[in-house]
Amino acid sequence: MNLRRALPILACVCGTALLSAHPATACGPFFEYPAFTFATHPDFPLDPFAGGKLGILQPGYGTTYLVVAYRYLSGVGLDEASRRTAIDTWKDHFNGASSEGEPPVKQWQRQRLEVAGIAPLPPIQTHRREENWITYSNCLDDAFRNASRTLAQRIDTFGADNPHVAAWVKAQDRVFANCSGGPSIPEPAADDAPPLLRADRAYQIAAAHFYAGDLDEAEPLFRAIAADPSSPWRALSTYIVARVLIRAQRLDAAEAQLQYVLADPSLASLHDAAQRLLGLVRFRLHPEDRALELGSALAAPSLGSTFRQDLSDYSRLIQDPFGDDLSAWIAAFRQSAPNAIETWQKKRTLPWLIAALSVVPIEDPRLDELLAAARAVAHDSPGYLTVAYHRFRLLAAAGRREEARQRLDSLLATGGTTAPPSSRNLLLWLRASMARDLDDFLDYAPQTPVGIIDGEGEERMVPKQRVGWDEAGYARFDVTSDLDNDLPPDFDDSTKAALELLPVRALKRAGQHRGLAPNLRGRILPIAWTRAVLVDDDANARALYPLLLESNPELKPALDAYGRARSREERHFTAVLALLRAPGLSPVFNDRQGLPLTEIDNYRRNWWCGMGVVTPDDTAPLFLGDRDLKAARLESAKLATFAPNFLAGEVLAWGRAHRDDPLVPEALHQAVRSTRYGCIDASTGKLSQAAFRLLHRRYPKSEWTARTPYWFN
Amino acid sequence: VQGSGRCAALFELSDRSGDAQESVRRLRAAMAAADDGEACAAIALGSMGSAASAAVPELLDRTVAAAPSLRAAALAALADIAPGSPEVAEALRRGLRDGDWTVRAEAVAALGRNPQVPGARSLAIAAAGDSSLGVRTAAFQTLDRLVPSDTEVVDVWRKIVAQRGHAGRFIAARRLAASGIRSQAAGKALLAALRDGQPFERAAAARALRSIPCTTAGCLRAISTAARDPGIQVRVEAVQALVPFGAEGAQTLGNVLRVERSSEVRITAMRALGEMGPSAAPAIPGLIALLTDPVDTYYAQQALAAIGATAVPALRELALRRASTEPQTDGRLAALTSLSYINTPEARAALDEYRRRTPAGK
Repeated sequence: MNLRRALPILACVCGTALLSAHPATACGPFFEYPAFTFATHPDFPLDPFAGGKLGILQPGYGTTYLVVAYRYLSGVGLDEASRRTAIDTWKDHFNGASSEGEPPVKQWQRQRLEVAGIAPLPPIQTHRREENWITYSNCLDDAFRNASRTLAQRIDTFGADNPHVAAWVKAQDRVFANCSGGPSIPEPAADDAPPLLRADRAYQIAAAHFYAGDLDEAEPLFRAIAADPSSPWRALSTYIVARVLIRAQRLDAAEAQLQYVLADPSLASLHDAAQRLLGLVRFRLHPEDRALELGSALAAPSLGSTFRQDLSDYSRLIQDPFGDDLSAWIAAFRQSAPNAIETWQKKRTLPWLIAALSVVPIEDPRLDELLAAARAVAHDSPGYLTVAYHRFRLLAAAGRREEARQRLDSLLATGGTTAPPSSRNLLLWLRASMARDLDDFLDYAPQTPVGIIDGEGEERMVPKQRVGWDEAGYARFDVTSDLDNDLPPDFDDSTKAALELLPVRALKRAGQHRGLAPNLRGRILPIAWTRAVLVDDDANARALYPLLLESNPELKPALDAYGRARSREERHFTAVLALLRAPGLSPVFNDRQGLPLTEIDNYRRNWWCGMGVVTPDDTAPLFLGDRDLKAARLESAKLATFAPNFLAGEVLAWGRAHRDDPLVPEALHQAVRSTRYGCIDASTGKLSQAAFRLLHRRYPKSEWTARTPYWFN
Repeated sequence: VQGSGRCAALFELSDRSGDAQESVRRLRAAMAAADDGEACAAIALGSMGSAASAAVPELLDRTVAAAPSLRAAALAALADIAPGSPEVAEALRRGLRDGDWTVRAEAVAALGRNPQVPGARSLAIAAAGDSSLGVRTAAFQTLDRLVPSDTEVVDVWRKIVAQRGHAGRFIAARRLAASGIRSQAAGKALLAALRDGQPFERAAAARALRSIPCTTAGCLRAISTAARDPGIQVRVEAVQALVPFGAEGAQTLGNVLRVERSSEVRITAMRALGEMGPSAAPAIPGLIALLTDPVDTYYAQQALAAIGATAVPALRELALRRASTEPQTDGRLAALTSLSYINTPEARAALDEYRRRTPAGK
């Protein structure tokens, strides 16, 4: 077990906005790491997933993705309109619901100025805050759209110079004043106002009461309008009554009102909206019935106009399986429920085959039956990649590694090339885990990151897909564009852990592996050389030196003394000095997000934090033989120290014995610096003090002494 | 079909073709072509089970082919096509002696599907001591299949544990421990493993001892010794194995805190003490001493909070010591924090006393 304490990460620097070119989104620092497989959503762009190219399904996917996956696995899929709806839903999830173009509230404020005698208004606040500090969106976009549309019609009818139209606008301003304040109720229309504008005013007064939260007043006013056959607002008011009732938390009455609207053919234009609102009411009133209803509706061959609302409601409601197949499948797949195998035996459907394959243990007597069913899944099935992945995983785990290797190689050479990037990485990881030898392992170990994981563990897209920032400072992403991924290949954490188990000689071989990208050779070779130095393997350290300079030329200045050293002891000391000069050097992977090896990281991601003795039978790659394992264990036992303690200790030992070595003052300075920027424990302070004292006592005039005013405890 | 699609086409023949005999004929022909699809053809034939019995002779030939992947594929296929055949049994035995670990692993896995091979269990036990980790892992899986009865499998593990020098000895002991079986033999093997020359074996044994758990005086002595092992990971595992010993374990952990140089071990020890709760009281002096350490203080506070009321007097003493002259970095602040975590009437009284004695702003 490696001790990798993130010492400085907890510091909260809310003032980063001052230093950053873009808005700060949170406290930090939050480090970003490459993501190789998205676990909570499919790859970007999301369009192929919406079209049935599901890749390897992950149990952590959000409900809406699993609903879509289930539909394809069940053979019903999505029609074009539903695909667009699904994509829009996901887009809103990543960017927050927003309308395209000019916001309706701004459009209203601009349009009202077309009327003579109307002055500009300060920005309208659409949110209302209650006494208990709860804030909610009081005036929705549709309210402003409706106002703009009506005003345009009234200007057409009466003219922009008509004083009654100006009065109409002023009344509407009072209506919207209730969005965040009020109460502000318009006066009744003048007696000489045209009947249409008088009807408008009645509606405006009712709306003002509604937005002011005076629902007892609003309800009868809307009901009166709904009963007035001459009012142009009759139909809408019938529907608005339901909204009033919902706000008044009279959900039973709201349900009845909405059913009334839906039963009236003359209100057909409002049926879609009423249906969506009824879903919301039922969501609150009868959650279990509603979940069952949604589960059935979302699995049905044909999807209605409420698909988007249904998806949204369903993803909020689904907690436990409700009895319908979709809900039961999502729950079983997510929770790795062992009863998925029995359900598959009863139903024999593709969704349940996938759920069963993902949980079946290799000692289960039904494994062969499941593998036979998996074999029969056709290559063009939406579930093929998921089934194949689990099948090969299970074959390998059950000891049929050669078959798993050959079949996986075949898949990677054919279908794997067109698999979504996350799925391809999973296949590569699986193949690497069953490698025959180190070269075979390295052929499959590199993966191309699919995105980044920020400090809070949230998966994000690659930076190129960040298309801007919204008003609240959150990044906005384009989830539908092609993935223009320029992140270089990298190793995932399990690969890094496997590589860290290798002895120096194997690491040296790994660093020379021809198929490896230069950036990856540049990550392995520093580890190999550092480790060779730490375990005092002079021969391998010397052999690795030219390879290291070739892969990491920036290390040349740090290693110049090492290159000139003549004796083994001198090489060891100059190697220690090189390690001190290059804080990125470490015997383990030290993720510094591209910071050059020669630069100090202010968050203490420098050198290493001690390595424990590993337990290879739990984690080691199977291709390692006992000879390698033994060497690795012996080496790792020597690495069990924090970098500053080891480095300062070596410098002190050399410095005390080599008074005239001109490199000693610098080495002592660097040793003290390492106790400031490296991992420390209770013994570090003493070493820091000892190096400081030796430097100041023996070399008082050295420039390195002048640069070392403190020691660190 | 040639190139990258060749194997896919061969697998398609075995997986989805309607005419089994025609598929076998074509797969045998593909194998005869002796090209890069040979191993895939062998695997595809194996997938067809007994329907591919006509291919047994050429598959037997492939068990001595030059390419390890072809030898492994042929052995696996034979085990599925003709499980009762003496020739296949002989091929599997030969495969277990192959120079390539992948072939030996495939052979031992195939043995698990061919329980009728004479001496299968002994062969698997021998393979469990193979020099390759991959073969050992496969062998233990095969033993699970060959010995379905829990009682019998425990006997097999015990048999392996009893063989000194068997490379799978400690794996078997750990399996016994992980299965929750209170086996004296496993306990003894694990205690012996604590003295093994390999730090890795010692660490794994200490970890396994956590799950048995062994709480005799002999175990306490052995684990306390392991808590002073030169290997960090051994010490990390050992200090956790002290949790079931209660106050006696806490005494040892308190000593560990005083002398341990590795902060990883100290932190693990403090977490272990926190897990023990009030019974960890003997470690209070060791924990108090660490309240002044910039790194350890957080973990020490957590452990003291878990110990609770018993820790209050010592914390009070630290909190009030030299309160008017020393800066807060001497551990007083940590002591105050611990007292606020404990939050008993005595702890609150100590906090009040501190407030009364300490001038404002100090």
